Amino acid sequence: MKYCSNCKVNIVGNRKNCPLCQEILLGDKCSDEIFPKISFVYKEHGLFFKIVLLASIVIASVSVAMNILLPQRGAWSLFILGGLGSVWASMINVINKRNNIPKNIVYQVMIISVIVILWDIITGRKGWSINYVVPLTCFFAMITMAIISKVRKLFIEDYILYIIIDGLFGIVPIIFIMTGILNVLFPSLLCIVTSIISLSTILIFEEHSLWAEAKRRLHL
Amino acid sequence: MKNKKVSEWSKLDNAAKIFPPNSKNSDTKVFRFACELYDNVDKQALQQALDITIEAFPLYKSIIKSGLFWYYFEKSRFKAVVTEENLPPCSTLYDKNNKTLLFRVMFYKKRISFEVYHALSDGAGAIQFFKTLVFHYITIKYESFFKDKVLVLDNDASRTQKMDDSFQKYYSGNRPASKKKTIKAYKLRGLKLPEYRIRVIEGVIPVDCILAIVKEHKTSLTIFLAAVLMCAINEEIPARMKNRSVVLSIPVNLRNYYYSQTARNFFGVINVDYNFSTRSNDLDEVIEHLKNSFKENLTPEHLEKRINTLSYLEHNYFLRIIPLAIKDVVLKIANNIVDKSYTSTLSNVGKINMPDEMKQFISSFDIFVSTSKLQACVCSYENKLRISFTSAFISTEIQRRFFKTLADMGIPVNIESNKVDEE
Repeated sequence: MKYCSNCKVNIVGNRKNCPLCQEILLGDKCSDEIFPKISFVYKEHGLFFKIVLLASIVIASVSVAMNILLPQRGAWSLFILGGLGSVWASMINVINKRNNIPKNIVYQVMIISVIVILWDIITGRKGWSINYVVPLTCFFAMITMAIISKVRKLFIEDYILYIIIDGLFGIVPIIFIMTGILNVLFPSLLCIVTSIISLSTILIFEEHSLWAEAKRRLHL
Repeated sequence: MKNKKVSEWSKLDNAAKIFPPNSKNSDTKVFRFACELYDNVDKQALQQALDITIEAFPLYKSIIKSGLFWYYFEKSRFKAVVTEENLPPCSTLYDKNNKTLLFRVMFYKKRISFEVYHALSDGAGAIQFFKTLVFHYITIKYESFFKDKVLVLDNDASRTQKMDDSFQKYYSGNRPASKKKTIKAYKLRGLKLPEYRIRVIEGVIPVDCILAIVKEHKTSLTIFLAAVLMCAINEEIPARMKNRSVVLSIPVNLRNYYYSQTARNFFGVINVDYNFSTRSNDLDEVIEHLKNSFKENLTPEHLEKRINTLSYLEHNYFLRIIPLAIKDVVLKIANNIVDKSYTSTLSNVGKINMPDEMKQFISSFDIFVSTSKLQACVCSYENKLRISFTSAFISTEIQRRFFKTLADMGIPVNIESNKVDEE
């Protein structure tokens, strides 16, 4: 063992300096270190990510500047900012939740729905969001989840909650149909029917898991 | 119809609830037990030992999930795998976007390391798991040696006793009295290590040597070490901050005061303070003051009050129906306030015992914990007392002064540490 004459302590390991006072150690008998050496990783984001981030900032700032110079056509740069914001909101979710695909899908459905409804309202309430986009996203989400859960052999408790949330969300278009604000019925009907089938499947075949999951997630 | 097995789940105990919202890279709320053997560790034997041990501790198979109102443990199908140590001490175990088991077992040369996420258990609970693991490892690895011997570990708790939530059991439902004003604590400052690394500096001391000195000062080991640590911190306080008190937070194992064999959390915390601007910085004066503080804080009434204060919040109907997302924010704020109320932590896990026949294979035990400031953990095995400092700071001044004080008293100190600098 080495010795630090300054701190008056023995030092275990193979180092040259005292870990307490940095003084040079006396003695030459080395012993094993008790911890492995683990280098710093200096975690960095990928180059692609950096390029996309910089590109977004360039596009956003240049378009706002151009818009201020050429104000005749209205505030068009806001659409560009909104578009970039939407893409980033969705991307960040995809990256953060990449380890839990069913959860990722449900979050994606919510984010996309909110974004398209906002866009629809801002661009003149033509109704394309609730006519097509929202029900179809929800429909495809349900199909994807069903396929992924089978292909990746997920365990029921890992995806049941997300199937239920998406199923319940998929029934919401009934309200739109009842209030008569839809011009096109086909996508919404497709979505509602799939939701009913999907929820019933869970209710009939996974009744136990369903109640157990409800009990866990909702316990007070 | 086939009977489908519904996966088991359980609530987080009262003390555990604070951990999930407050775990971050800078403070992962992970602690580590390590056991140093005389031989190099055999990976296969360790894996076998782990497979047996985990069956006796069902909660360790859990992951944490979030419900609408609370977090909960859900039994998972992940298999615990032994790995060679390749992570910095106390690396993240709970990440809400990447679910894993809440503990890991690693080995490096002669050491077995066991890291646990604090929501799962406290030190006194996790040591049961670790002792069982080491016990099985040694009986498997040195099978021929133990052939005709029947060994028992001093751990007779049943699976249900280990799963017990003792906070629930000892909550009397009394509304807590208003609490006393908190003291302004000195906050350690300084440059921190990159990548949220922590520096581990451990001092190994012969138990008989230090107990003789402790006796000279007519006190207990915990109080003695707390006093030495307070004096070491005092030397570091800049003049303009001298009016602030040094406050040590000391976790108390409630199993010593209430009957419980739980392997989950069952601890309370007491804060002891000393103001060096108004009092003498003589070690014996500090010890005298701490003796009184300990006596005041460790009465049954005082401890019961603590259990009730924490459990009261959990049992309040109004608070229970607040969604988890809001609770998270509140618990983060609460944690920040609590964090500001103390300077450092000293945790004495106490004596670790193993069956006599095994002692020839085991050199020592140690424990330390993740921190965003400076923490000391103490445990002893046979004649080796280990005082482990973990610190997020680059500076090692407090640790140096602490061990220098002990060395100056004539106590032989062996220092072990991890290499954080690129030396």
